[in-house]
Amino acid sequence: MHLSSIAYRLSPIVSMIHQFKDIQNNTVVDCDVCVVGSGAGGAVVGKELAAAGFKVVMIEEGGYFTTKDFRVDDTIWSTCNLYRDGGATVIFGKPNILLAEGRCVGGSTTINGAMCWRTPEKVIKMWQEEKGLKELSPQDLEPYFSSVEKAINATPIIPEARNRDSEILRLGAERLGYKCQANIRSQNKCTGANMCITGCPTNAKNSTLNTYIPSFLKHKGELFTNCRVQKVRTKNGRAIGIDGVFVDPVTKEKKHKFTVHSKVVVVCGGAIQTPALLKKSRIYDKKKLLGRNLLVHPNMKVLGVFDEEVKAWQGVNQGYQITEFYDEGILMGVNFTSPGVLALAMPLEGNQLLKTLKEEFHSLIMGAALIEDTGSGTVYTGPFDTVLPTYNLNTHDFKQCIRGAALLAEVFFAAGAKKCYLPISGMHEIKSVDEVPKILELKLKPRDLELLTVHVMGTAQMGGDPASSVLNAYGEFHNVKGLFVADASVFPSAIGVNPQITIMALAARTAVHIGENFNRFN
Amino acid sequence: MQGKPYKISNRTKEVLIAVSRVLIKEPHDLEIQNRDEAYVERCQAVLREFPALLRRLFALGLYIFDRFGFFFVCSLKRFSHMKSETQEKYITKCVHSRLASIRDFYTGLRGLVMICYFSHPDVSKYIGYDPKGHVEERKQLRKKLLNTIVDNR
Repeated sequence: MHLSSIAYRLSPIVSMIHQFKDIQNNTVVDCDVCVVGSGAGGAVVGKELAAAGFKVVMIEEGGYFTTKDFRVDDTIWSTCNLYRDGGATVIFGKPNILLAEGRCVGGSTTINGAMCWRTPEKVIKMWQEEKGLKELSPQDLEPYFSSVEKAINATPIIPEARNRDSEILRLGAERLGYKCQANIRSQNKCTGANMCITGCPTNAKNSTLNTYIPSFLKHKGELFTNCRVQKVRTKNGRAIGIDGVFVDPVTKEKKHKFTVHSKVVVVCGGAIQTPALLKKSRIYDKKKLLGRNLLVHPNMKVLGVFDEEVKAWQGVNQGYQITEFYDEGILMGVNFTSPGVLALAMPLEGNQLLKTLKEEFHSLIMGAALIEDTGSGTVYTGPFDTVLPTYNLNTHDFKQCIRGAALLAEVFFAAGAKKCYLPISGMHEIKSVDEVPKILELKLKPRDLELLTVHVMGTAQMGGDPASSVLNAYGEFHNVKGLFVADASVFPSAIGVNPQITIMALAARTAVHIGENFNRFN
Repeated sequence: MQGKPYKISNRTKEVLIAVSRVLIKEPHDLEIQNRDEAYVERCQAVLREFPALLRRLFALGLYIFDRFGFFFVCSLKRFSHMKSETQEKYITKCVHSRLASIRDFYTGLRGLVMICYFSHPDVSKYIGYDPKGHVEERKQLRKKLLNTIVDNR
């Protein structure tokens, strides 16, 4: 089976989308492949298999919203309709980490910054040598990378989209002699509305909502939205379908049941929901590794305040990234979020908050240091459909987080910042570069850090050895035939960069494998 | 039978409004239309999306926060009925509490309040955030760029 080339940005065929309001009764569907999730993994697997002629049903827990639905002046609408748990998923531990994860057609690609980074070669080599994934080589992955990059038009930003906060980051890096790269993004003439995280209002972002999903529908794939999959059904060690329920998007009431009979099931719900669904379905690997190895790519937000007018809310989201410390596991960039999130990052309350925000709003830059984590957490499940992710920052990662914040503050000061707000309890504000070393000298505990994440991975890791991994090199369960995972759960280790392209390439590879070996599942 | 969307109780509303008034003091030149109604509606919309268990735990936390202020400050009154200075003192005690669970609850509560309060269009306007105008300008620019490509073909 070959990867089909898609002409991206097709108009979706709405008749193949079954939304909550269209479902009047309990529904049963027969198909070849059932895909759970419509994000970076699910949309790619679904589209590739539908294009190859298989009957594919895709199920999405969230709703179907397009550019015309996105509300630029209502952040709450976005958090409630495009994000899981209203944007307030918490990974419990020391410290608690806020997770922002998409729950809508297009999954997290609808609300991400559209960064396109291939899996670093050193990571692929490590997977080959240490995780027994001999089949996975940079050469093997090359056609998949090329295919997905073409489909989502992964290209550099156009000059018209550049904004001052990205230029300031570049300037700071240049003055300190740090390597800084222009980002490649999945976009089509993005002019920089800087609202990626609330759904692109100009239709320039090439999320799967704009690319793979329309193509999937064109190839007669069927998409069911507002449906929560409750169980993956197996029989005699084979996957035979799923049981789900349509949930009223307003009342949250569980309504009609949904049953899919299929020969193959591909779960693409993300690194928290995928292991949770499989655990609830009583599907385990031999060593019960499913749900472990949760990697969170922690993110330290640093705010820089400048004398000049920056207007960071205008122009492209994340124009550059500082890659100088990539080998040490630290990436740095700038991105803008809504005033509410900015207010959260400011250590002010009462009279000072609104006054300061009004004064500094146009001269503020929000930056983030992303840390490649070496520790890991676990996803647990409980009664009442509870999913409980846990993660404790280990000493190494804790130090890296503090170092990341210090490095970013240093970059901001080098670029002319007059003060920085830090996500560190006990040192929320520094006013000169001389105070930066003090950050490293502070006696802190992990709970003193305010962390968030948008990249969770690793909870159903691939590997050559069934004793130390959950899935084989193609994302299939070692001990359940026809049950695949195609999302960031499959990563055996942290990759240190934005995971969109890695998820998509591995998903495309899984789709080709399923297509070529389909007789085995019949 | 059609179910009803989740609604927060009047008592919860009172506490959420009281917390927002302590955390964010509005200057005289800021007028917010339907301040409390719009804010509560937003809080309700976010809480509706919480998993059922977390939503119940949050409501319980808010109840305890409202009722058990006497552990932190010299007052038997509910938080929402305390004097402004006492409320501020109470919040400061929560921020610096030795119990991590209290600090964590307060962090979550502050997050909800900030996100919901700052989403009000009047507040955005006050701080100079005009996403609508900016997006419209960018849409036009993109249209122009796309048309140029078509013309060049």
